[in-house]
Amino acid sequence: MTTNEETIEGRAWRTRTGRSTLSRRSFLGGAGVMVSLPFLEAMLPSRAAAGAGAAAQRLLAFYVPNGIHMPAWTPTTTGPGFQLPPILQPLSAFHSELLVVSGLGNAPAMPDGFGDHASGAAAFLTCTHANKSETDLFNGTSMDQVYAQHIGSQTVVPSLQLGLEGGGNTGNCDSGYACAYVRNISWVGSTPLSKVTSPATAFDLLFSGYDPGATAQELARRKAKRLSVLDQTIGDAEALRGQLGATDKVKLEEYLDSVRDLELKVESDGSALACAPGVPPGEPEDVTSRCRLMCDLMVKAFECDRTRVITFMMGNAASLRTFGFLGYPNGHHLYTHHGDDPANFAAIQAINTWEMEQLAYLLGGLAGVTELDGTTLLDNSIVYCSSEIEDGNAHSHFDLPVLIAGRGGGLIDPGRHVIQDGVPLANLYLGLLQGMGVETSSFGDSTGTFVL
Amino acid sequence: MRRLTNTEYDNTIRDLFYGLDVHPAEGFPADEVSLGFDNIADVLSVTPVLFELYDRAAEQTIALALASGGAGSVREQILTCEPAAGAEATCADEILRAFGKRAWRRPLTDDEVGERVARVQEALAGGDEFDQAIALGLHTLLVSSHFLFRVELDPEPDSPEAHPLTDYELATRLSYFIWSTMPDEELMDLADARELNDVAVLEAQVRRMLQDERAEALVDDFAGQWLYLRNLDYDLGKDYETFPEMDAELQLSMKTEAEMFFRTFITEPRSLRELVTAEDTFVDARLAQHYGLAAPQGGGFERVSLEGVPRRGMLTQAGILSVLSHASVTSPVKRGKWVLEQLMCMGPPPPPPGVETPPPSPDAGGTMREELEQHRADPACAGCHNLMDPIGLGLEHYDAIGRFRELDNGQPIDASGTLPGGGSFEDGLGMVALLAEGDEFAACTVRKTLTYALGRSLASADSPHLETIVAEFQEADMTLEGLLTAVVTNDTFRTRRGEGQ
Repeated sequence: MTTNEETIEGRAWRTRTGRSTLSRRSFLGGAGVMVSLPFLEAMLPSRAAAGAGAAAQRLLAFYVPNGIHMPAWTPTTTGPGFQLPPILQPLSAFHSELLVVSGLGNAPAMPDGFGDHASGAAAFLTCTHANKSETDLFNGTSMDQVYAQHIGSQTVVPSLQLGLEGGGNTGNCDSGYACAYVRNISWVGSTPLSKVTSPATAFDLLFSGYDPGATAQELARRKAKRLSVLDQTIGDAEALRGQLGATDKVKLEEYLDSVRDLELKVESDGSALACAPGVPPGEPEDVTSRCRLMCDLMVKAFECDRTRVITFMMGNAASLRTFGFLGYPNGHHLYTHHGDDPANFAAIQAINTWEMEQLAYLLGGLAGVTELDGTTLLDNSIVYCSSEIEDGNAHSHFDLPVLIAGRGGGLIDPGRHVIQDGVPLANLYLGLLQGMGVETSSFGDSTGTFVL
Repeated sequence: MRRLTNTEYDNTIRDLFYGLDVHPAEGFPADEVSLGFDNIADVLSVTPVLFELYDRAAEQTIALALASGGAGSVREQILTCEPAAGAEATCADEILRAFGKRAWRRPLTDDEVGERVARVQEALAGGDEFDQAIALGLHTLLVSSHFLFRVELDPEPDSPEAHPLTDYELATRLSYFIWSTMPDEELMDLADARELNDVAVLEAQVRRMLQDERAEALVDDFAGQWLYLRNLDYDLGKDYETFPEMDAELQLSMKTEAEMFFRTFITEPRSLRELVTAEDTFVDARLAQHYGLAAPQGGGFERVSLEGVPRRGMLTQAGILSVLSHASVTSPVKRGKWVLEQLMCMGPPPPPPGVETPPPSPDAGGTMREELEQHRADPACAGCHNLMDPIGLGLEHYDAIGRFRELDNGQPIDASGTLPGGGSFEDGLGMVALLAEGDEFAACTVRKTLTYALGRSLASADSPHLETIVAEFQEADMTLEGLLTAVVTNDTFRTRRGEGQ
C-alpha cells in the first residue's frame, strides 16, 4: 500500500498566476485561516465530536437560485412567534423549527465589474472573493467542506453534492466568470466539487456495494481486489508526477486525492448499512418529482449515516428554468429582473413559494425519522437555505434571505426571526462550524462569531 | 493533462469496447464549461465523486464486455489468447499490452505491463478464474491517469521552449479534435511508423477523418456549442398561448435542420461563408409549413432551395431564432449579442447593474424597434446597444419561433441597420451578406475553432499563428476541410511548451 501521510503535507503548487494552491486535503478554512489538519486525526473516528451516544450533527445547505422576492419573504415581526410571510407559508408546519435571520451580508460575493450570480454562488458557502476568469479558478474552501473535513472518515461518504440542473445550455455563463462558479457551491480550495444531478447515480454513490447476501469472505476478497486496483492507480500517477509542469501537477494532485478518497471509502466500508436503502430511484423528467426524489435520498443518506454533509442546488445561479406548470413560461432569471413590474413580482413569488414547498417536503422527511436516542433527524440537522443574491433585480449581496431549519443537536434555538444588520454572513458560518465542533477562530471575512 | 470530457469518455469507451452499447458518462456530473466549450483543460478536474463513478463504470463495462459471447464479440476482441495452464502470465501480458496501447493511446512500457500482470497473477493465486483476474488488470488501465487524461509530456517541464509533440500525442490531439474520441488503428499505425507529423500526411488524414462517421462529433460538440445547436435539446419554454403550434416535435425538426445543414460543410467543399448565406436548407413537413414552403414529397427531411423565400443561412433558421428569443416575443438584444460574440468575436460588456429589464410586453403596443429606442437614448446603454440592437433588429422579420412576418404589432417592420465596422443593410438578408464578406467572420471562425482544438484560451503569443491560419483558411476557399487542415498543420497544434518559471 502507498502511505497516505504524504497527502497532507500542505504541499503548495504554484499556479500560473503565482497563486498558491494547496492540495485538497491540506486546506482548511476560508481566506482568513489555514490550518493543517493532521491526517490521522482527521481520519480516525472522533466520537468526542458527536458525543458518545448522542446523535450526530448533520449539515445540509439548500441553495435556491436568483434571489428571493424579499417583500414576501422577510417576516414583519421579530422574535419568537414571528409572523410567517407569504413565501414561508408552505413551512408553517415547521414554524417552531425555523430561524430566520435578516440583515446578513456577504461582501466577498461582490463581483469585479459584472457577474453577481457567478461571484455570489462562488462565495455562497465560501465567503471568499472568487477570481474573475474563464479559466483560472480561485475560491476558498466552503463551510460544508470544512465540516466534512472535521468529520473525516466517520461516514463512508464524506460529503455529497446534489442538484437539479447539470450543464444546461451552452454559451457564456456570467460576464467573464467561468461556468464552474455558477454551478457549484461546494469548493475545496479552488476545486469545485461538481454535483450529481441524476437521482439514480446519487443512490449508487450512497448505497452501492450493498449486498446483503455476500459472505464475509467474499466481501474481504472484493475489498482486497478493489484496493489492488487503486494501489496500481496511485502508483501510475505518482510515477507521472515528476514529469509534469506546475499546472499539470495541480490537476494530478486533485486526481490523486480523489483516488485516495475512494481508497479510504473502500477500506472503511464493508459493514452492514444502518438502515435499508430502499429501491433505486428512476429519472423522472418532471422537476417537482425529481426534486422530491433527491429530498428522499438526502433523508435516507442521513438516516443510514452514509454522510453527514450535503449541499443541494435547486438550480444553477442565474437559472433559466421555466415554470410553465405554475403558469410562468419564461426563464426564472428573466422574471427576477422584474423592473418593479407587479406581474414579475407575482411570478417570482410563485416560484419562491414552490421552492419552499420542496424545502417543506425535505423537512417533513427529516422530521419523520426518529434516531436511536428518540430525537428526530430534523432535531439533529442544520438545514441552511439561502440564495446567491438578495433581490434579482438589484443584485445585492447584503440583507440576504437566510433561513435555518432544525436544531443542530441543540445548537440552535429556532422559532425566531432575528435581525443582524450589516453582520457578515461569515460570522454565521463561523458560529455554525464552532457549534459543530470545528476548532477555528475565523472563516472567510468573519469579524466575530454569530451567537446562535 | 487534459481530462477527457464526458462526451469524449463515452465515445472512447464506445470505441474501446466496440459493439457494447453503454454510456456511463450520462450519470456523471456535468463538465465545467469555459469560453463557451466543455473541453477547456483548466477547468476540468477529477473530484472524488467523479473518480468513484469512473471506477464503477470501468468495473461494469469490463464485466459486460467479458460476458459477451460469439464470433467477433467484444470479449473476443479483447481476450485475444487462451491462457494455457501455467502460462496465464504470457496471455495476460499479451491482452494488457494490446488493450493498454489502445486505452492509453501509446505503447505501454514493460514495467507498466509487468506490474499489472503481477496483480493478475496475485488474483489467480487467490482463487480467481482467469476472466476475473484479467478483469482486474483491465480495470487498472481504465482508471489510470493515462486513460482519464490526455497526457502530454515536456522533456523539460519548466522550459518555455516549444517542442514537437510525439506522434502519439499528435494522433491523440487530432482524433479528439475531429472525432471527440480515441485515435483509430490507422492513426496509431502512422504514429508507430513516426510518419504522422508531416504536412501531407496530416492533410490526407483530415480528409479521411472528415469522411468517417465519427466526424459527426463536429456537429454535436463543436457546432453544438459554437452555434448553440445543443440548446435545442432543452425545453425552450415558449409561451404556449402565443405559439400553440410550438411543441417538442417542431423543436426537434428545428434541431435536425440545423444539424443536417452543418453536416453539409463536413461532406461538401462548401465555403463556411454559406453558414450565414446558404440558399438551401433541409425541411420536413412541419418545417416546410413553418417556412411557407411546399411539403417534401417523401416523409422525413429533404434538401430544398430557398429561392424566392426570405431566408438565407443559419441566422434565418427557426432553431437559432427561437433560442435567441423570449417566451413570446423576439429579443433583438440576444440576437445581436450572439452575432457579435459567436460570429464576430466582439463581445460587448454586460449592462450596468439594475438596468437589465424584462422582455417587452407583447401587449404594450408599438414595435420592438420603438421599445428598444429607450436603450439607445440612454447614454449609459447606448455604447453597447448601438452595436447589438441594429444587428438584432435586422432579424425582426422572424418572430420568437422563427416564422416570417411583415408586421410587428400591426405595423410594418423596419429591419434596416448597420454592422460594426461599417456597412449598412436594408434587412436580415442584406445583413447576412455583409456579415459573410467581412474579415471579422473569417477570423472569428478561426478563433472559435482553435480554442476548441487546443482546449485553452488563446494568448497574445497565438496571434501570429491565428493570422497564418486565417490566411490559409481563406486561400482554401473557406471550406471546413481547409480550416481544419490549417489548424492541425500549424505549429501551435503540433508543438507544446513547458510553463517556464
